[in-house]
Amino acid sequence: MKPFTKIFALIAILSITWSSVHAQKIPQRPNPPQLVNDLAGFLAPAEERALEEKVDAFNNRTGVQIAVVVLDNLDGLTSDDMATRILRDWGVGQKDKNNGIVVLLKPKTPDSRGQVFIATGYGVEEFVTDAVGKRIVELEMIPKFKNNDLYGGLDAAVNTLMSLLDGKFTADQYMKRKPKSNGFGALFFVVIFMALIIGMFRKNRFEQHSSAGSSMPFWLLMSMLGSGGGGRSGGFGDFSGGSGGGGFGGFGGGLGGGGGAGGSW
Amino acid sequence: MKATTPANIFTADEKKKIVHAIEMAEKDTSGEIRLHIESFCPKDVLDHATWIFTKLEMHKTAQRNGVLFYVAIHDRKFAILGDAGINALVPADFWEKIKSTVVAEFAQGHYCEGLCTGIGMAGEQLKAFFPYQKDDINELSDEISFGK
Repeated sequence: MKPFTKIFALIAILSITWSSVHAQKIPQRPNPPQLVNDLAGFLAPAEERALEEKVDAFNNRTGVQIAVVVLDNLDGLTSDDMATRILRDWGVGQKDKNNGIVVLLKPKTPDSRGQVFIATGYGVEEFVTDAVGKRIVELEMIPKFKNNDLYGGLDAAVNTLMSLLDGKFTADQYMKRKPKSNGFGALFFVVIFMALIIGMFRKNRFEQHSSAGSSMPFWLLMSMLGSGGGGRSGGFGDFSGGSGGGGFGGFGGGLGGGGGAGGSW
Repeated sequence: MKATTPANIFTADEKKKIVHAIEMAEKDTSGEIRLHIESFCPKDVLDHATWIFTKLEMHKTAQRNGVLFYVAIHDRKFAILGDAGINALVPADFWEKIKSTVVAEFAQGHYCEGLCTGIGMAGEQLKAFFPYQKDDINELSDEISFGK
């Protein structure tokens, strides 16, 4: 936590004058500083903590700051505008390197669309291009958000961002990756994606926000649903320590039996 | 493109890497980790992995702290299973977290990395909850178990 605090304090001093201009729109810089800010209480405390630990460790290791911000209201701003302002006003990243990233989420509510945007500092744009940010939103986040798995979507996005920044794969390689392809689905995806790209370039290229409210049912298919387990497998009683009768009961965090998680990719 | 099968999914080097990851994860802990890879998963992945778990006799560890990584390549299914001893101690979202991490890597074709990372994550928890005992023996093989 220490190095991060120091960096943040420095930036705080440097950018405090500027930010006061927009103080009414942008959420306050967290104090004490932290990278994961669920300002609307959408995440469970444990989820928030898990994300914080992850991005904090990454910051300590690489100096790159990935801030995750969850708001319930964008105050009239678009998600990209809000994310970019947070990036700038909070001073996410190291000042001389401009290597901060803001993952902004405004979850869907009964009367408003979900919005999500990944804003990147110049220092990391070679790793996370705007197109990649958009792709992460569409491939990793929206499908999970549609299943009300806010944490899963944020976590997946953070993982991909870290892999990109670590050079595990390049932005180009990531862009070439296809979702689980099954004939028609893949074609459907390509068509939609191209339509999006075309639409995107006809407008301002910075308007690349995606909204979780847009209807793309295909992506639901790609989402990874942990199967819940069940009491039906024979011989399970053996596994759960002779608790008898094959009571599965363990998966999903239950006590007493074994536990696990499964899914597809 | 040639189909990926349990036999060709990993290069010799990657196999070594994975076995090494398992060895590292088991270092300083009495916990045991195994990896089973096959092509098809005939039913619910967790149920099937559970069956494999028992078939590999992974439930026969003294402290019930075996962890199985199960992969069905062709069916693109993955599961991680922990025995009662470890499941009782880890955070509730622990398995889910490893699963998402591994599956995210798999989705990008990174089988070796995904498994190594996941195995490392499991190892950390095993170390935390089942510290190495002086008389610890490697109860289960570290070799990858390949199915059809």
